[in-house]
Amino acid sequence: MSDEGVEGEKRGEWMDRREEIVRLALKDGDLETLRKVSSLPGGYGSEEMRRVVWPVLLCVDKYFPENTQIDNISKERKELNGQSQNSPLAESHVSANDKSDQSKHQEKPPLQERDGTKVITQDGTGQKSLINENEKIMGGNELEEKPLNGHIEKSQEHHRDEYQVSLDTKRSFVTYPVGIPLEDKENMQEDLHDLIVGILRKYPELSYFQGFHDIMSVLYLTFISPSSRSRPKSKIEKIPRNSPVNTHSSTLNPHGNSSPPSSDLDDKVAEQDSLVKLDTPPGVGTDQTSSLDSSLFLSNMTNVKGDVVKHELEDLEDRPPPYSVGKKGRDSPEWDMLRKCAEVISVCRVRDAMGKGLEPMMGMLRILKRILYRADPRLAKFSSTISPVPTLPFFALSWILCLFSHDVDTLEPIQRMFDFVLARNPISAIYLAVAILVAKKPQLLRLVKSLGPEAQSDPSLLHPLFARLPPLYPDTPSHPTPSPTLHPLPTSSSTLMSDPDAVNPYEPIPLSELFALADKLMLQYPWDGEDIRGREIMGVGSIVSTYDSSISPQPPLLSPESQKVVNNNKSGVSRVSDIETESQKELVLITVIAQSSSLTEIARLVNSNVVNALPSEEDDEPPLPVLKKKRKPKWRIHYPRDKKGTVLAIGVMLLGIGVAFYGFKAGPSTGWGRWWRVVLRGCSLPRVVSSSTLPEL
Amino acid sequence: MGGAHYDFLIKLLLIGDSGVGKSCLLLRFCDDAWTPSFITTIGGFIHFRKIRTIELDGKKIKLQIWDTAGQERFRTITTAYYRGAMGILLVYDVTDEKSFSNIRTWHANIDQHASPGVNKILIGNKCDWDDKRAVSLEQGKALADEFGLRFLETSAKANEGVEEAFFTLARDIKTRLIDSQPEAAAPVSLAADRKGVDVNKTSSSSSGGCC
Repeated sequence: MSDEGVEGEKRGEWMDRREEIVRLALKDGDLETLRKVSSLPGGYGSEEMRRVVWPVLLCVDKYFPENTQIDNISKERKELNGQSQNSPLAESHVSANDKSDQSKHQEKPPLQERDGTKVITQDGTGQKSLINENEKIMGGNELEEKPLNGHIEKSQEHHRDEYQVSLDTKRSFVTYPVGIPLEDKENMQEDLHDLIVGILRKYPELSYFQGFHDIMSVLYLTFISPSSRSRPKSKIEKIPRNSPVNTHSSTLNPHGNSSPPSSDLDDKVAEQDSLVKLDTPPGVGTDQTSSLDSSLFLSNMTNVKGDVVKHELEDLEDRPPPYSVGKKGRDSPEWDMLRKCAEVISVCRVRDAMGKGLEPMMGMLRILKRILYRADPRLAKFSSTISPVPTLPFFALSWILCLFSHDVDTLEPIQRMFDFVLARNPISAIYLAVAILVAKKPQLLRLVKSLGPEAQSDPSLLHPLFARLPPLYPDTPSHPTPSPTLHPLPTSSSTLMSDPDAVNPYEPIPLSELFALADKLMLQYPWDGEDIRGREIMGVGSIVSTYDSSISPQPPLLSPESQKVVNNNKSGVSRVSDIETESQKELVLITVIAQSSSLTEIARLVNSNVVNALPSEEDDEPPLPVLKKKRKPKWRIHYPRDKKGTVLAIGVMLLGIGVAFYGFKAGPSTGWGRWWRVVLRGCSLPRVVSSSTLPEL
Repeated sequence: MGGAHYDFLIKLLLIGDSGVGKSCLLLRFCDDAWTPSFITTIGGFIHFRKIRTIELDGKKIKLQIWDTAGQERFRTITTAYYRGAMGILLVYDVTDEKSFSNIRTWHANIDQHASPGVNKILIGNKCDWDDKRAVSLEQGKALADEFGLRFLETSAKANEGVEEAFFTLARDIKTRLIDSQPEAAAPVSLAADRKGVDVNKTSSSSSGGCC
């Protein structure tokens, strides 16, 4: 009892001190200190602190300015819009609305979707959402800009991945939190669904990937307090998830499912479908008995101007929208911050995973492999034997794709890992993955050994051992190590092979150890340094390249070269002498866009120059990355051998000096023979001793 | 410790659209369990790579079953795993017509990436859900006939046809690979064409090299 009391006191003490440090760092805008604190035992201390720190790490204020100078923003947007006219990125770009559009938008939230019970609109009706506020700032001051109705309306449309979102959110909150009533869980799943769908509709360029819902669930659990998660069922207008989208007809629903033959093709079909629908008179659409037809029609009605639409809008104005305010509890400051952070994370921190395909993640895995080869060549080589595709460490894919949120069993460790990753360049997740592998290696090898010859004859059996994260212990200054009873170890490792899910075979690893190791690796082998050469893999449009711009509070001044591009684009003149190639121009544009404070702009980078060197065909025979052929021998053979040789040489030299010194000191009369025998025995060379000296004796 | 608890090792792969119940089939077959709330399989092979040893004609057969992610974007990765599989279970959801029509794509994928002659079985899951059924038994049969596949309807929830599906496929593979090669030494692992790596080998640095 008294011990616990002391413990509690201690805990309070360090937390107070920690919070003080964090508050000071926040006040000074001292990102470096925030970084350091994130990797210490205890991290940011408390949940409350985390809720304050994350938005700062994400620069939420930059992207959702409430009191900032409007002039700067509109100026910046002017530049960006001007230049993007000729941009290869401009395809899908639609700028903000003019004032009239904006006000219309405010007054009459466009209709989203309806299947009898359900209507989804972008914004709350009359309720002030800060996202709205932002759009007003971004868009409402652009009087001179040509109205391009697209964006906001466009964002209202169904996103192609909504069906997948509903499939996955229905399977969310499974491992954590524990012990919540089913009804609350359903509410939470619904919240999560609407949060994700809201983001996708707002940034239609982004694609949903399985696992994104795990990331969002961590944010949700962090920002939304348990009391706000449950709502009285009767008061909720439940959105029947996936009902209209979950159709069985591929012809009617091009957005709906997850496995069309080609996403590109699918998008085109979707567009055509939309066009067809637009041409259909409203009556035809609504006369259809199929709820799908009407929902599709209505979702496209936002592009139609006419009395029918207006009427529909007025009729449905008061229905709760997804995502933004409207539902009970969703107009709270908590929700507001959740939405902002979720948007920044999506657009600035996991954008690479939200492109058309997984190629950027393959690039990340290549970098992971390169780092692992530096950090622990033997482990790297061993890990490459367990995947059917030997080139890439696929076992770590879900770690880096979901920022570990899919593979951690409890909330606190994953929050601490988010502390770490959000405070750093997104590439830090890769270093953290390598640190985990290195830290669990001794345990891993022990387990592999205990599995016997079977595993050695077929290394692919070891996949679950590699993919399984060890229990990550959220250590604090007062509780540096886990209590041994918390993590009972399996009695036999043979259960591991038959059922890798049963018990985590690993012993817990304190998180601060991992963070320290990851930081060390990051310093030792910077991703863009000459060892890892990450820039030859990841392009300028990747999150790892745009991170620095994304956290800089003020857009840096354009370089003269960039300025030239911007000016050329503005005047519509493209002179070859100034800008050497189109691709070069594109690169500069990407850099400029990355400095924008508009998430809408940045989201457009999602498929632009994200990954340079596509991993060579994984399906083919081992096309080992350059690293393996070129770099490995240099590192693994020459360097260590030289090192050992040097140590050995120095040792021998010291020994010689020692022998000579004492021999000399002892004087010639004591006899060299005895000295040499002592020396030989001392060197533990019994064979030499026995063969040469024994006969003499 | 590992050793020969079995005579043969057979590797199976579960593929199909997201949400058709691949992980549930696996859980039912390996643990005889079912849960309504299941986590999404991401990238595949992480949580649900399960093993069960069965007995066929007096031989112990170890089934190693790899689960995969259904979302389209993961397909480049999952197809990489096709080649190691000796048998593939193509799963659709009888209440989801789209998942059924996508079987054609999945089948084409197998043709492209799996080893030639791999055994396949078509499975219509969730067959207990009659009021939501969108794909009839006949449609399933017709498609299976077209592709020359075996076909079964299953329900992981009601535990119908699951055992049969895995056993049927395992028997076919045994006939194809094992019974036709009587001289094959046990245990066989036909997919492991990669050399095992001796991780326990300690670096034998030549420390005795003195003077």
